[in-house]
Amino acid sequence: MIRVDITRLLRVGILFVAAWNLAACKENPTVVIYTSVDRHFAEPILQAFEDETGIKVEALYDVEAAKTTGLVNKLIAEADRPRADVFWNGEFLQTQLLAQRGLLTAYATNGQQDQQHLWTAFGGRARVLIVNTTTLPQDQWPDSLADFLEDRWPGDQMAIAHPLFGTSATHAAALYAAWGDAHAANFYRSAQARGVRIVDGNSVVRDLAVKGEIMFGLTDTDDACSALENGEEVAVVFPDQSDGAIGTLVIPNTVAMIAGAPHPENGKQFVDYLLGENIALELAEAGWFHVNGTDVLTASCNLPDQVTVMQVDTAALYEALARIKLELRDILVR
Amino acid sequence: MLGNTHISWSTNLARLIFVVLILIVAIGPLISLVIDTASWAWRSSATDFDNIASWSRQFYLLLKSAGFAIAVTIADVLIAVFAASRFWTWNTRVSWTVAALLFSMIAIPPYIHILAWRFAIDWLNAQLGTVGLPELVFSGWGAAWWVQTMALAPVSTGLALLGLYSVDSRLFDVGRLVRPDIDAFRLIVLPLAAPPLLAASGFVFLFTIVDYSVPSAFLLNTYALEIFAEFSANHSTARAFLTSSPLLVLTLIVLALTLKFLRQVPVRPHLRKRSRQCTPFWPRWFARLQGLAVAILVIQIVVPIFSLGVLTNNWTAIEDAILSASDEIMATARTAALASVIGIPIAFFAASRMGRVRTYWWFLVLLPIGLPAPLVGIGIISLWNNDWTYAVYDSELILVLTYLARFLAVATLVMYAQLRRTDSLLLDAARIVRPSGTAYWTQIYIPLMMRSGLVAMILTFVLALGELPASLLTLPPGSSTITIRVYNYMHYGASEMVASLCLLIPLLTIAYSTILFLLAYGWRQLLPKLPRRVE
Amino acid sequence: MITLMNVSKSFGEKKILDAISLTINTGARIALTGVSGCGKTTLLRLIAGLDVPDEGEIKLSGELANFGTEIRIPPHRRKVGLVFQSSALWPHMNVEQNILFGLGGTPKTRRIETLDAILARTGTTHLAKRMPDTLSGGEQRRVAIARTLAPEPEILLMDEPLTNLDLAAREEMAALIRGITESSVMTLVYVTHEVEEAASFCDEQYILKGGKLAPTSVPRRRKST
Repeated sequence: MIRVDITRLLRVGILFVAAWNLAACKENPTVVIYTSVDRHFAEPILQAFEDETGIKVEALYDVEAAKTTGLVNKLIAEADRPRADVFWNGEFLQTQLLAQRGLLTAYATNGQQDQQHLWTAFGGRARVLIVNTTTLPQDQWPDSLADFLEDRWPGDQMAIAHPLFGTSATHAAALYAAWGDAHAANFYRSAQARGVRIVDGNSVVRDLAVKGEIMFGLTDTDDACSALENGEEVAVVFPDQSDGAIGTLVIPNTVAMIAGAPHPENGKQFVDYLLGENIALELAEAGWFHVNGTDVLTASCNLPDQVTVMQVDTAALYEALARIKLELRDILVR
Repeated sequence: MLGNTHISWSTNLARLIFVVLILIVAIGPLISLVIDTASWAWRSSATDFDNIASWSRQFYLLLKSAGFAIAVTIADVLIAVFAASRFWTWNTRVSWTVAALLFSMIAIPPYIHILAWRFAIDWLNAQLGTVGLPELVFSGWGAAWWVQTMALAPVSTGLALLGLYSVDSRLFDVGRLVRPDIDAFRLIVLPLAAPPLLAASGFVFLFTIVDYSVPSAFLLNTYALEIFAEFSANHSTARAFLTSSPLLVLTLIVLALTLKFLRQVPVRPHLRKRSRQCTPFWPRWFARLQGLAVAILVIQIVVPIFSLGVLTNNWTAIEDAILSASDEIMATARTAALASVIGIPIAFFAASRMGRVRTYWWFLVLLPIGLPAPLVGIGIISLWNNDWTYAVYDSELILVLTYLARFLAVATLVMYAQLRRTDSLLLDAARIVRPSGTAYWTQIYIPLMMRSGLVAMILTFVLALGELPASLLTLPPGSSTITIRVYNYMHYGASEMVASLCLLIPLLTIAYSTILFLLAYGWRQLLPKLPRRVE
Repeated sequence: MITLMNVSKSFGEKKILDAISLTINTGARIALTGVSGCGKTTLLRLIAGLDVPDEGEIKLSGELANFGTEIRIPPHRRKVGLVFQSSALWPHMNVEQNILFGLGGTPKTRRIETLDAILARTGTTHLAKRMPDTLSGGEQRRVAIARTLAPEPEILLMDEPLTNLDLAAREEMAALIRGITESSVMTLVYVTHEVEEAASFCDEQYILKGGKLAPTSVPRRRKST
């Protein structure tokens, strides 16, 4: 049916593939970084590393809309022939997942590491309440996650991000550990029952609070503080800070070397660079980090100097995470 | 004799090459997923299957999602029929310009439609508030339905217009002499324009049912979110694939129905087309509905452009966005254009086999439409990330393959709809006169397929521009696409950068469509002139 | 009666019809001849209401159908039947459905009677359930005529109905057309570029040339066979 000059077609095809392969040849030295940290914050750091060391950075950034099915799944799918040298993650449970699956290689650093030195935690973002100050005077501000179930505030005037994805999932796992399974499941079930808005992401919680469509919501410091820095009528509150309360969850960044990475030495150089003190400060100034340990790094968000941090067992959280996510899916996705 | 042997050999080789291309490009990721899932199931214990199925909840979700998709499909097909029937009576160039404008809106990501509509409703509510009127409520299923309908209306209207233009106008003329124009339109034109309309319904339904983003933005859960929840919880491709299997079954049913109806439409070519000098006399109700549909489409174009324009704020922002994202703009345009160019001959071949070979062929070629996009991405990684094909995996070519894996089925369906309307006698007659060589292709085959070929190319290009979930996984490090950049920065709300880049997307489509039409026109000019008859 | 007064029509720069005036009496049978592309079909389409003149008036039975570009009578109210050069049968309907389409508003029993009568008259009864793409060229043309006659038009416009038929089919079709035109009071406008053919059906003959219409002498009419 189809008649073409096959020889010519094949010749053109071979030339095309050859040209493409030539174009694909990458100049060394190179380091390949996969990062779930927002591009807005990560790109200047990567650029500075490239300028300082001369090592070309080839980066891939995740997007919030991919709902944690992005880079982590890419790393898992590429396990047999890894592309990435380093994974720089905005939280820790997905990094632990990669460690459990044997996709990371040990690299001892001076930072806070897991037992096998597979990853290093640094800096931190806290899970905070963002409050619209126009609709809610200061004496009515919430100060605990339990306030989401309090009748003082109408259910539809509060919002949380979907606890199946991202840092909200990490937070849900932490609450299961802190409160116990039944209590935590009941928290989410009751929140849904009373009409608390379960929205698409932490930035949506921030936007709703900024627009005054909700009185308060639960989000990350980078989202909440960005609104404050933009002069919006909002306030940021560390939840559960009273004596005996569970404290505020602080989620550190993690950085890890990928097992079988194509450029391990360059990767190590990048990890060292990222863990340098000035980088944490730069990220804090840029608005990515707000907490380091119990210290609050920036004053711009009108937060206290110290925060009581919720204690979490990373390994235990990881073990429970998939089960919790599926339980929450059964409760919330209906 | 020798010549014939040579032709037969080259024909078979060409056929083999196309089959291999289809197997690798379109079906490869699916096969790879099936193998991964089978191997996972073989290795797994019973507990690994826990919580995959929760029948009553999932069934209800699926039902709800199908209901939502049906509602969107009905709305889009109605808008398409009424609006396209109005455009159809306009000057051909004007109506094709409108179609190109509509097509250019397809690549605007659903999130931007949500953003734009929320922005517009907020603005409207502010105006209503100043005159003391109650505010519009924009939430729940109604709002999700509206935004999804708006996001997909250009696809259905563009294809409906293609359908109407493929009907020989004399068939309408004969009917107009004995029955009112509306009867002739309803009973003659619409049934004959059915193939692209059916294809449009199939697309809208399938695109809606596999997309969670719009319902999710309005706090609604659909089955597509269920798959993401599963994938996000266990990071198991096999489990996610199993969770998505009900959607695949639904996809199969929809495709089977679409193709069944497509096959029932009789084959009849249009040898020439006249411009309709006498505008049809529509009944008032019909004309009003046409006006409403056109107004809705105008709103569909104006609202995102207006919202993005306001958010962009100034020209400098657009300049900055272009400069900072120039690499992404070039890479996206390059890869999407290449996918559309490579995709057409493959889609054409696949479509031409669909009418002849057993049913498993269409099943294999079209099924990827119903596959969740991240799974397509994972399938592509499994297929291409190895020592043999690493050069391809490590280059932009992998994006081209990603776009083809996702949208070749769409191009195939458009080409198949046109093939159903192309008279094989014309082709056979041409083959007798010119049994081989370029003349047969350049003067007969390509002109006959030109219109649907261009539509399929633009559709592939525009869908590729807006692709996110699969390309996010297959993208080579160090590169990016416009859409991925938009989503990278979306976290910060509707920044100037996001709005500017979103405004660029329709412009890129318009530029590409213009180039294609100019090439098509220029190419026709090069053909030997045939005597034209004016009656 | 068909009246054309100063009717003009252009396609782009080219003036196809230039201030044409013509009166065709009820029951008259006229032929329009001329070379290909001279505007014969355009004139038929203007009378049928499918095209709009740039200037001039068209009256049907004394009623104003077109006044310049304004359409006063829509095509389906003009009681005009048009047989195209190609049969233009609706491919998704069988022969019976093609014929019944024009009888939309007629009571069911009357429709069936008309259908049977028209099928018999055109010799297409045995084709009633066939789809158009299974018919030969001659059969398609017969069905096209049957479909045109079914709603009983007052004016019958025929656009080269014998073109592209083999000799036997031409003879059969010619006999059918002659039978129809001679046994009815329909006004016939017959377009052809063959003078002999025109003469066999019509009483008057006009030639269209350079946008102008001029009467020509009618050769002696051929006897019907």
